[in-house]
Amino acid sequence: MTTIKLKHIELGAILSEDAKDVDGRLLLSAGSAVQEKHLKIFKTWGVTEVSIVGDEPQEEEIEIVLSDVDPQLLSQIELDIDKSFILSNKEHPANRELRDYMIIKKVKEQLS
Amino acid sequence: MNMPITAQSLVNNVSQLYSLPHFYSRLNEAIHDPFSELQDLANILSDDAVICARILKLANSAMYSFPSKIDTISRAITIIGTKQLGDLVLATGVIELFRNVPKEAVDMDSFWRHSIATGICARVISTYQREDNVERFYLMGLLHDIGRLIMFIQIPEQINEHIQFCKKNNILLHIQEKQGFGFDHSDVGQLLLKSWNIPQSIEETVGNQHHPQACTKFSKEASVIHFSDVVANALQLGSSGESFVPPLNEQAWLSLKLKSSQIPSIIDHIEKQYDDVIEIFLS
Repeated sequence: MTTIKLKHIELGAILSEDAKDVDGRLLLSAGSAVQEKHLKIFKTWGVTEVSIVGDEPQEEEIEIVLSDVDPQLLSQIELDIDKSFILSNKEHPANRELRDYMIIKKVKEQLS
Repeated sequence: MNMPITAQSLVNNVSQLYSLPHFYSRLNEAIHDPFSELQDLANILSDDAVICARILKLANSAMYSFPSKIDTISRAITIIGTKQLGDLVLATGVIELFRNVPKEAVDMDSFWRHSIATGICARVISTYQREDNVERFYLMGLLHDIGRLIMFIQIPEQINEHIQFCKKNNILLHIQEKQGFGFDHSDVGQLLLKSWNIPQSIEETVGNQHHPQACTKFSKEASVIHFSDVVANALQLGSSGESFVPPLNEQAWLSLKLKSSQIPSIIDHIEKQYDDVIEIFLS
């Protein structure tokens, strides 16, 4: 069993646990194969990850993009972003997501 | 001798200049009158061409992504909902109200960008939480820093000094405000909204945005606004004077029952709606 983000899921993957929204309302039962229409339903109700059968290797998008970036540019961008997070707990998972998003955004801006 | 500045004195000084148009209370009465009909609301709205046009544009924007074009105000009311309409009209009206603030006092564009981003984020989260009136959350986000705007208008030099001091010394602006004035922008905002007689949930949420758990009745709303403010600051979408991403209150975060993996999808929704809404409100 593995927890997987929706953007990495392949159609036909089997759920190992029920997929529920924030309120705990059932959207798709364990054992079902994930179809295109389910992805739409998950997205509508803010479900971003589900548990599926098997171990799907997950590669984080951030690593794919950032590994090609000039290390000097990357560390300058990280430094700038970290300055704005100076009063925040950088290890908090929510802050980590926000910080990662901003780093990728700034990298993309620099490269475009 | 000069009288000391208080949150109430700041609000009293602007109460004549920045009062809600009579139009809003008429609309609100009609919304809550069980005998009023859709056409009555449309008639009241049509008295204000600017607001009418903005509501129509909004109904046709990415905020609703409705499949077909909505070209009459009564159709827009049907799509948006009557209660929700009242909140949207108030949101639109408040931005109009402050349109003529002198540019030297505050960068209004940046101020509203931050407020709108916070509002959209709050609206997206409340959609995930299946709240009945998501426009109420948009409105609360839009108004959360309105007290800072009053401070910018009335005591621009002092507030700008505090902003510079905070930048240099890594201090949150609302903490510095409290230190310097004995009150912060959330106190001013709450008093202003109270003077406008707008619903208590909005006023209390704005007043408790920095300590959501202290708000007994509306801690859920205050938590959503607190987190949305963190997100808007982190994404650097405009600024209301704060230089840092405010620390996330852990209890507020847990109460939202969000997974951190939902944040990219929240941001995705914000980005899809942000440009449209900015265009409509700030053009």
